[in-house]
Amino acid sequence: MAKPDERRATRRGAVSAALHDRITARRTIADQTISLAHLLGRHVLDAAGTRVGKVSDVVVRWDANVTYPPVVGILVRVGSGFAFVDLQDVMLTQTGARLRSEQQTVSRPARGEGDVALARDVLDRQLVDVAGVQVVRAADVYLLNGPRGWELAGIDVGVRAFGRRLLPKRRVCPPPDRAIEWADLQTFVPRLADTPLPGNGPAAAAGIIGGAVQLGRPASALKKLRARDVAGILAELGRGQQAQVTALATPSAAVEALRQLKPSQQAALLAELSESDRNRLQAMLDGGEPS
Amino acid sequence: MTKPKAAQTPGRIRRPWVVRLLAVLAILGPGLIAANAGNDAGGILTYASAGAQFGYRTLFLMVLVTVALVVVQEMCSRLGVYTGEGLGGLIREQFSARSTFGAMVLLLIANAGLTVSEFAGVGAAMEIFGVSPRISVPITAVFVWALTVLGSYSRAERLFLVLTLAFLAYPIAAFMGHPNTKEVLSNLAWPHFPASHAFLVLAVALIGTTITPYMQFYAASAVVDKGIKPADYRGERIDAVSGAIWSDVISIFIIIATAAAIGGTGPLESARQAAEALKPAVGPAAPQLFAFGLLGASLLAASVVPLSTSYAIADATGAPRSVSKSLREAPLFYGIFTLQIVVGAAVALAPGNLVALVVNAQVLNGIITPMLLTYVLILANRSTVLGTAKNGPIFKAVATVCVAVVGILSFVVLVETVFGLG
Repeated sequence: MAKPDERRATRRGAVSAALHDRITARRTIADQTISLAHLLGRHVLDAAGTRVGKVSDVVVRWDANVTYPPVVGILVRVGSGFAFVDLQDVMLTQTGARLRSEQQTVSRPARGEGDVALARDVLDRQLVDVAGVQVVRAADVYLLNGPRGWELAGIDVGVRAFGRRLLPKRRVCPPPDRAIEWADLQTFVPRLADTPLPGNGPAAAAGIIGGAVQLGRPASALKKLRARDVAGILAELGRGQQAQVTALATPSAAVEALRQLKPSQQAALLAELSESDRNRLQAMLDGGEPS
Repeated sequence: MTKPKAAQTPGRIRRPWVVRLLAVLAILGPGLIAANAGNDAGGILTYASAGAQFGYRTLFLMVLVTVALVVVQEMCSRLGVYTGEGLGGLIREQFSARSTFGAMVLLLIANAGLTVSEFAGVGAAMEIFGVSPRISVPITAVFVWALTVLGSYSRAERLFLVLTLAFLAYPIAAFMGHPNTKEVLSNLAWPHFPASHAFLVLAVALIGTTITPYMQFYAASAVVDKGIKPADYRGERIDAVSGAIWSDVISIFIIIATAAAIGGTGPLESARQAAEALKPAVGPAAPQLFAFGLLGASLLAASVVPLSTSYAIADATGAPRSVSKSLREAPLFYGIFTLQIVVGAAVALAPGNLVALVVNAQVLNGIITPMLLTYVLILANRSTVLGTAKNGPIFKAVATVCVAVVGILSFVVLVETVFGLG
């Protein structure tokens, strides 16, 4: 039988070992997870440790065949201008970014076709949680360091996540409050503008956009939604997004959802659709056969 | 037999005044009714108080306020039409988290002040029927909460709206109360502002009750709800502008009618006193008619104002929102709604003059208004939000001047009040 002080030591050892494991696990997870809200505004250091700018945005590459879009680079605010740094030239951590070499140049336009600037296009925007059948607003965006490198893992829609952004930033970012996996989400991404915006703000640097939006990825899950679900989602979206959801839902569900809108709202929504979609849905609404 | 020459010229036929009045009302009617619905208890009592305290001297200010209201309502409608989103969501998407939080706190405070004035309006109206506010206000608070949460508000809304039609007696009373026409026109065309702290405070209250933050959020949401397309905006712009003008025409009639009846008697002390202005139109039934109108206006807004605040804040913070959700599903939404009703009713029950409380709530609104207007102005100036529909240079200059003037007035009143000046 162990003596009392030995027992105490053993218990203390057990406790500290468990605590150590938890801290290690948390650090391991923390090193592999980045909260976008936590990262934005952090310093970007060069290889020598000198501050060269601040993180302004994180850019991911959109591909219809990839569930979790890979991070392709960051947008850095340098003085009054912005520079795009490719991911292979930078090391991301929770508390900032560090350039791998001294020579960093903008090698290509900040935002190419299929690129999405997360702070601009996803953070604080409305998205459709297809699995939970609800419209949510991204209070934070999480990146995960997977086998293929940093990729977009999901969003946090919790009120606490929003509240955290009001307070001074902690050293290590806390875990998500109400996380939704990226695979369950349907996003709306602003369309790349035909002509770039004037000025040198982050919008111009990110190669930005007009008011129109396009769906982030093919939404096969949207086709599974029933008419009642589609109607509920439409009720909480802006008109541009409404049109996208209507176009991608099954025609029968879309028509049923459209019938639940006021005539003026119905007309406004139909006007946003492509001509073929509009004609097809209008024919079904009028009781005719879809063209 | 030839007709007399006068009869051949329609313009010269002298019709009885009732026929002429009906003809005017037939044209003005729909607009007046719509505008009247926008006047809540705070508005009615503040305009009446302006007439009682300063006679016609606030009329020129109301003309300036109308210009500012037109500019603001037009911007809010344009934002709603072109983005298809409400102001709460737009602020969240376009500003930092801290700025969004600041805007929502301001909206909550402003609308809580409005809710106080609605419950004070209920108390003041029921006092005319001999019911103490200590009984009427708590019962109304429970009634309004239950009506909204249990989902039967839309039916009751029509009844409240009918009650507010009592205030259409004001334009009639304004004509029949024999106001000094020369003085009215002179005060409408040229400022006759007395240099006093009391006038400055009332000016901010008039601004606060006319250009309410609540109405800005409502205007943007209403056009989204109506499904107005950018292609149809020209018609909507006329609607927004004429609605704002009509709303202020009613307000000006309230000031004229009250000024003609009890102008210069000092600050309004009771709702019964405000009802005096309706006597030329409806005779001894004026207090009862006024009480019905005030009750309808108060009940109409007592539910809508806290509800719209809850929607805007839940939308901006991303919390679940809808009266169709349960208390457990949407705690923040119901929490904010309930908090406003409880605080509104509790403050309205505090001892003191209910009319003064209502006017003070409008002063609070007036101080907050320019801060929230700044958000609207920035949004409407941004091409990333409105594209080519953003504010043009002239409109931008006019809107900036409006916001700046309102801001300076509010700041002066705030400083004078805090430091006990004036």
